[in-house]
Amino acid sequence: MKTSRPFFKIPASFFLLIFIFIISNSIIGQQYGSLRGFITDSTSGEPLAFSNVLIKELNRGSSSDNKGIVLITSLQPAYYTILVSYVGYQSKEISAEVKTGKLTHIDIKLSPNSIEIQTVEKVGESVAESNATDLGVERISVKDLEKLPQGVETDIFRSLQYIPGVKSAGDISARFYVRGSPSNQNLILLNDIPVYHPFHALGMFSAVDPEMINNIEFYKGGYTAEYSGALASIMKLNTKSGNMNNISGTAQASLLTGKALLEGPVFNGSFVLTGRKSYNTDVLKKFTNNKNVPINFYDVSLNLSFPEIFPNGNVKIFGFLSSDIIYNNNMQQADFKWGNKLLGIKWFQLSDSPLFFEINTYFSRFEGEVISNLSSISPSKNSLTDITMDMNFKYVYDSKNELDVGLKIQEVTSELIIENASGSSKDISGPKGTNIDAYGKYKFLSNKNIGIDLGVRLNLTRLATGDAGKYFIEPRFSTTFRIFSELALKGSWGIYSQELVTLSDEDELINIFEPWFIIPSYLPAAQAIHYGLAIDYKLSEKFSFELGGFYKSLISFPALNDYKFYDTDHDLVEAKGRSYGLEYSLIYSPFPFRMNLGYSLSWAEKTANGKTYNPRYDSRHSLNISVEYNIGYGWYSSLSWNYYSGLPFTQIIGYRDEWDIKDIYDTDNIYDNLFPYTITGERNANRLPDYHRMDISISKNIDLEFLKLYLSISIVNVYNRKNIFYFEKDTGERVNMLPFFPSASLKAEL
Amino acid sequence: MKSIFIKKHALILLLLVIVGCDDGFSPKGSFENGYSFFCIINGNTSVQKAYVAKNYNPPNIVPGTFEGEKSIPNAKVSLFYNNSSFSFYDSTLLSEEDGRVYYSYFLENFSVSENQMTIVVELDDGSVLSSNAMCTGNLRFSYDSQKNIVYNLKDAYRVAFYDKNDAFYFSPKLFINYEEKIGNAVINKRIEVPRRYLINGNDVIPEYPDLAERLDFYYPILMIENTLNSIKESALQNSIIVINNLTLEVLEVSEPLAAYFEVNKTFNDGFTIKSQQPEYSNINGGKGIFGYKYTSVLNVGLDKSWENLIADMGYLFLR
Repeated sequence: MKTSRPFFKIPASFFLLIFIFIISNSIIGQQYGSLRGFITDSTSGEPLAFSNVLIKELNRGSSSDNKGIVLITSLQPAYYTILVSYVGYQSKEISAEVKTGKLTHIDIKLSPNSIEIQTVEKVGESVAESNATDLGVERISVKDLEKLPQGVETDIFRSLQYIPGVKSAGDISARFYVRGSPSNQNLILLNDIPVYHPFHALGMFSAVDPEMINNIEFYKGGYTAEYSGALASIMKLNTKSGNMNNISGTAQASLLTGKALLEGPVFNGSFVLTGRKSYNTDVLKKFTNNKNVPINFYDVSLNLSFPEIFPNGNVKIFGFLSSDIIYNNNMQQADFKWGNKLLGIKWFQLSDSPLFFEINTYFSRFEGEVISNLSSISPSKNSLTDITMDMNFKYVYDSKNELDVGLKIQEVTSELIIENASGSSKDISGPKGTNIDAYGKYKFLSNKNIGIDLGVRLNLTRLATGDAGKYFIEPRFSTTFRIFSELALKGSWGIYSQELVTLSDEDELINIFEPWFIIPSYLPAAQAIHYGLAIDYKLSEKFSFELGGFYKSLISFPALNDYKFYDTDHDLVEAKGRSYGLEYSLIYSPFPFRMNLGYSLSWAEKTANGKTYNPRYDSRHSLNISVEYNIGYGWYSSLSWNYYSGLPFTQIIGYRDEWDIKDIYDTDNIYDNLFPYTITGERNANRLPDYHRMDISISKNIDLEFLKLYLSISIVNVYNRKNIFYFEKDTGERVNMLPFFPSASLKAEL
Repeated sequence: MKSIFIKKHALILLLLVIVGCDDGFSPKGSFENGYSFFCIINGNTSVQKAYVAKNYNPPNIVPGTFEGEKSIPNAKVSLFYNNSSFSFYDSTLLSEEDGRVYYSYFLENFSVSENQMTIVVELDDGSVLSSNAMCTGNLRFSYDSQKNIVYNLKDAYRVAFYDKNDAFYFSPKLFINYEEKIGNAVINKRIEVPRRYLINGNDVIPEYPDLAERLDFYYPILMIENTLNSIKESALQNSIIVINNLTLEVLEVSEPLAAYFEVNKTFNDGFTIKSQQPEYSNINGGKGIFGYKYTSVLNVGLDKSWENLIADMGYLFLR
């Protein structure tokens, strides 16, 4: 029987060396002081993530984290002028005194620009990023996403396709593929809680309403030791904290959904309540070749934030529900329902020293059910319950170096019951498991031109068995070497594992939902190695580009057993794969324009069921261009163009008669029950035509005395490109993706 | 100036229309010749049938537009069983489905009980298709399965059989046999007992057992009672209903046939779109299925404990 295996052993002397280094760091530099800032929106108190902070006298800076907190250590005692900037806000300069051995805390409130003079003020970014070990990381403010053409519904996942290395699953699906990995190797974290099925409506839209989101951190590879649970990418969606000052709200309607947000102060804290519900699914016919989808979905979230329970701390309680139901109202057809339930509590604490800690406890459950009624579809039930507690500590030394340690205890129960019509049921999941894993990492940041993030993650048990002693080690490394002030060389390497996966059928272009479960013990845990290297060039605040390469070895991951014919056959087999490529991104933003260009040249390969082939999402070339234009006076326009070269597909090489045994009792008249079976060639050996599409949008912000209105009009597929989706097997009909399609949305904010 | 502006924009518009156009893409590759063969030997009948067809290539990608002949005549189809050889003969048949004439193969006066059979199909072009199938005889039911069924709502009619053979899958059907009398006329009828009911609003829908690998199975007594009760719903007015006994029919099918049946069952949920169809075949040199099936029959009586209940339902009880 196969079991998890450590890739290699790290000698104990290595850890001793690191320990000595850490201790020595705490002795160095007792003569310095530190500065900590908390940057918020002056009108709502909402933290401003990823804002830039520059100490003018030293030309030294940093960026705030996803909570709006920035920490700068190793400062000589003095008065400093701090310049803080954030896109869409007026920059602010304040003075602060730093004392020896002390931590100076400052609250910085930035005011939003008025819509008439909406200029981009962005200073200190290059300084902040000098030695940041951030290869493969994208930090996105939701305000940035709102400016892109949105089509039917603003969608966070679809917006990611502008990042090189990220490929959308097409117009019809919000699923995405990262650097040649299947989509079930992406982990979506909502306030650090996994959302196992983050999709509505057959995967057409994400279940996470952008209205609740403050910022996004997207790790497309080479991520550092604090992250676990995914082989391809991790998307951290951090929600808004809520308006600390006033009750306010927004209501929004699109062609598909109606949604609302209410926020305001509560019990010395704040709340944000969001809700979204589908009300008209006619528009979905554009996605489904005019087929009616009797679907209803909704999502609700509530975030409570209490920053005053503990001084310099914050306690957040977060809940989220999403639900989809397909009800056919016909017993001859199956019905389907699925949804997520999330509940989490997080305590984040700052201290009087440069120490942060965070304790996070959460519950996440996905439930899906296929109710067969009288159809021939097998009934099935799937649930996955994840109860986790994790603790993370960060200490920033006077030398600017950082130490991070953390521990995670996770208990997962999964159930994937397939029932045949005779009533015999079978749970094909590894039903329950506990995983304990810990990480430690050290960031060497004392040299302003070199940053090194060196860490290790230790999995003490395996979920499928819960057995101790089946440990495996995941070392991680990320570095930045700034050669010149404009030019940096970045690299990353790491070993990654994943134990929760979906039962994905690669041949399904659209499916209802993919059931989640623990990788059964007859297969090893999924494992991958990432390698990344890039050159980052930043000429000015307005022009920068990054050119990089990656290689990813998928050592082991589960794939559907194509040769499962009997109940006793395993549903999954072990697959292997690799992907590699080059990625290029360019940002040019001369006000009032902002242009993004992302290009990737990549190869992906998969070996499963004894065959090696290019998976369906292997696109050789991918080019995405977006241009935003701030017209002024509240008008905003944008244009995006996506291109990717043809995806692999399997050719039809003929047809043959296949016998459809409708009734096993009546097998006499074979010739009356024949249907054409499509004979296909070598799997994915050919390519579909190239895909390209242009979208445009124009929006207007109207600021009335008591009400703000945001009107947006978009046109999807401006030149009506007929991008192929698939061919109907029975009729030969070519089904294309979205045609030319105008849409509009209106948002009102009180 | 104005005309230059118009020309420029017309050019851009034209360019956009061109790139937006259909690319004339076809998903077809080079046609590959090949053959399919289908034959299920039925242990309950003495006439066996087979079908041989060739791959075809319509001019477009709509298979229904193919006008040529797909079924193959003049093939030599031989069945080898117990050291003997049996030859099928070909004939033409008119399909009720599409009105087309098909070539089909027949073997008469052939019955099997146990052991393995081999089938070989030799085609004019020298191609050979072949396959094996296991066959079996009557199931040996357990003693308890054969006893009269006692009325006890907490219990079930449990059926088990000896000599469970891994090479077979089983599908049971349980029928209540009854007579419907109007005057001197007697109509023998039977009604199948469901395994359970599905509730959908005000509708109660019966569900019957499917093909599965099993050693035993059961029917709750409540299901037998409910089925008895439902007889009067379809009975003719003024008719007398006489309850006789129950008949259990258990269909055994060879394992490859069960796999073929499962794989080809329509799993289409109406929403999922798959780029590949599932396929199962046990034919060497081609595609298709060669299998065996047999139905074992067991008559079971109702115990005296049913008498009052049946009378309360307004039926007569023949024991």
